[in-house]
Amino acid sequence: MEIYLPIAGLPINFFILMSLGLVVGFLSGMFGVGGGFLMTPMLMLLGIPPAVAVASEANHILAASFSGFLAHMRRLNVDFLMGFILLTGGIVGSILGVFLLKYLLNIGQEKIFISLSYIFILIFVGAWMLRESLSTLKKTNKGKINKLHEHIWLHGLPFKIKFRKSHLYISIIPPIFIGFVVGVLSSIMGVGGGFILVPAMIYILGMPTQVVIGTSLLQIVFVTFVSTIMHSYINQTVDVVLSSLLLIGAVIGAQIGTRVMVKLKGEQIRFLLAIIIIIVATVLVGEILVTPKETFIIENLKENI
Amino acid sequence: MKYCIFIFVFIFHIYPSWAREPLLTDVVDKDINITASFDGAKIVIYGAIDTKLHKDSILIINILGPSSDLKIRKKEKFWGAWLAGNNEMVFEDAPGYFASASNIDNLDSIDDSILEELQIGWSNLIINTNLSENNNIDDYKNLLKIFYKNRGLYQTTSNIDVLGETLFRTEFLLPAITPTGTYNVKSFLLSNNGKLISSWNNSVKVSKEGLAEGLYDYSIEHPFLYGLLAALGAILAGYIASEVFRRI
Repeated sequence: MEIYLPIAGLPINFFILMSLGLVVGFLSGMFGVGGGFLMTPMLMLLGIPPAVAVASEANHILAASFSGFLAHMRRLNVDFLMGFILLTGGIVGSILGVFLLKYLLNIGQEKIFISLSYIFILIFVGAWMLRESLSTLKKTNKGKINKLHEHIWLHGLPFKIKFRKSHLYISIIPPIFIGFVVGVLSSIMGVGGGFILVPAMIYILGMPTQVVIGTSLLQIVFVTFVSTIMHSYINQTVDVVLSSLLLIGAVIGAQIGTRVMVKLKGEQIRFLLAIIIIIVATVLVGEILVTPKETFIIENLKENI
Repeated sequence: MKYCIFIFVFIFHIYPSWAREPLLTDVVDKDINITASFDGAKIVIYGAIDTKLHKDSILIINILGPSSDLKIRKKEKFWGAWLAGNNEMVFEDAPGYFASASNIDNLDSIDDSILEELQIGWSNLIINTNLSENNNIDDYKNLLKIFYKNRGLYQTTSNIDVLGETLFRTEFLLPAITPTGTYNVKSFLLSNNGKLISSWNNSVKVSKEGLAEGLYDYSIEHPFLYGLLAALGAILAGYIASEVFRRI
């Protein structure tokens, strides 16, 4: 069943979009990542213009993450205080990122450097997470009990606050800084930053994995809510027919993802996420190494043709 | 069978004015509507040539789709990785679709200067750019052609069927992703020694209709509200799913 997408300007099969939405929603509910990493290339493969793909995706991820967020909230897996502190840093970071991007575009080559760094960060984070989760899995099998979390010097900085939900009493400087870095990154790379945010909350802040996922979803809800409106207001690139078709699958997928997630242990979730991060990094590397079919990119400057 | 409508139109529509014009063309469907089930369309062109006066004449039809500004960036290899580099240029008012057909196999026999003057064919099409020195404009134009070809927006395979000596007919395919707006159909009649005898212009309008049109217009006219409603709609969908699942 083909349906014509009014903003993207092409017809697309209904069932393809439904299943894509389902998969992304599942990942979102389970790991607290947005799913843009999977969606952007898939939608572009279907022939949807990149600007429309990115904007409509923000709208669909909003639905998926809100659905997942509510499910996590019911299970009391959201640290609101931590979420808002991260968000504050994130807002400042993404505004600065927009200006930084302008500056970088003027001087050119730097964007390539950032793309490559992102891939390297993903490989590093994925590999490290894989190693850590595997060794934890082994330890738990042997029956050893782990400490709640490691204390590192960053936690001892001034302005300490009690984060009840996360069982933490740490300085607010690291969360603000992490939110800021993810904000800058999402402006420059056009990615939600879940892949950096989730591991950072687990390993740098020392939050319990289950709480990290719910809190990350809270963050994604805010970011995608704002970016849906901004994309529509500035570029008119949100295709509601496209996002509606995607979100039918996504909201269902997110609920299923949450149910699967609560049955798993923290280290099992981290292990699976590590594998996904490594797969994504590998695909990204493959994408830039393989000679493309078209060795150029064409953007429509008047998107409203 | 396909010539029935064509002969009918010829008798009542073209013939009366034929005596005055050496070339006349018309388009079967001047308004193409993109609806929810749109999956591409056809532009059918028919017409008549006054061959009594001009034997062995050459007929060429070009179609230029609605224009837009396009930015082309070349990907380059950096340490083995393909990434978008610094080489870019902007085409201003470039046609969003291009098609060409003729009653002869190739146009090599025609003097280049006349093709250039009439801007016949992709290579003779003049597209403005943002560069002051157009040193490698052809290079970028070629990339644009490849881009269009891969998407069915560039078609040169059509030939013009000539029925008898005077009537002709040809058709062009518009892919599902074809842009909306006005398509200019430019027909040229050249003598066999490459002189312009006559030319004729038609236009076809491709527009969105129904729900597609409504949503599209709303997104342009009220971009903020559109975005806000889209965001609230997504929130609502997330909420409904969560409520439904809570009861299962």
